[in-house]
Amino acid sequence: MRKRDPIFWAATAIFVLSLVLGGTVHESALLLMAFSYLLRPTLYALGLARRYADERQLTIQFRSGNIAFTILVTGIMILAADREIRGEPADAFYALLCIGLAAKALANRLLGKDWRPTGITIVLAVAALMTLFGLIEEGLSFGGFMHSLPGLLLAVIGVTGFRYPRIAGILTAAAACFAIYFFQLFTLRQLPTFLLLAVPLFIAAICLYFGKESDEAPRPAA
Amino acid sequence: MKTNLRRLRFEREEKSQQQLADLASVSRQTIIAIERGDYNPSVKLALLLARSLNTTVEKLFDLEESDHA
Repeated sequence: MRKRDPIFWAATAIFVLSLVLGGTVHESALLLMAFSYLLRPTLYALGLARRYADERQLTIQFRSGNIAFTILVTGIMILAADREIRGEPADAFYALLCIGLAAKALANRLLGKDWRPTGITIVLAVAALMTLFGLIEEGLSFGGFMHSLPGLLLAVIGVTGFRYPRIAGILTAAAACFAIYFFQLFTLRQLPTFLLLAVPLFIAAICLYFGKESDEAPRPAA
Repeated sequence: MKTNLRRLRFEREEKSQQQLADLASVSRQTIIAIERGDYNPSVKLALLLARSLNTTVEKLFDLEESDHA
């Protein structure tokens, strides 16, 4: 039986709110129901409510989350393929897929708490994707080279991070700001690009700038 | 992993699953899962369980042949 803890009451409140708003304001408010269900696992995953679950319950939550993620990704891929076969655009599905996979990859690296190498990896991964997409769009030509140039410059910043992490951190943050300005990523329509480009770069910048010189644990006292 | 939790729970002061769960700050379902061998506890929980039963982790849990690499 579900425990009657503060998370239960908060989730119940969100559920009731979604019903009330869904009935009075707009049906789309019913989507809030998803938050009422996801509140508990999200709080556990963020480490904010671990006193309400023991380690076995946490393990079950994490494993079920991984299974759900795999099923969700598979479902999105099937729906995207269906759209493509019918000749309809499937961009929204691809964006969802990329955001989900990128979020998992980012979380995997960040939870390792190996900050500076993580920052470099993120910058190089974003650079590789930018270069790849530039080349795919224009092919192996001068135009393709020009399109992949921002990615190549970002890769140089990433490599700089091996020797000068703080400078690379500042340059990465500047690159993220430039990307937001240049691609106008502050609109809701550009949210997927913002999440896939600017957010990882800002996270990488923080990792590079604030990460310790050595992430090795100190030698225990004798 | 082989567990002697159930046997030692009865040998040491006859604690119920709920009493042991309260002492180790876990749910009764977790104690049941450990006793059935469905869940391997963390080092921290293993130490807490051992302390609650006045025994050692080595007496509570042991490796089986299949656990050896």
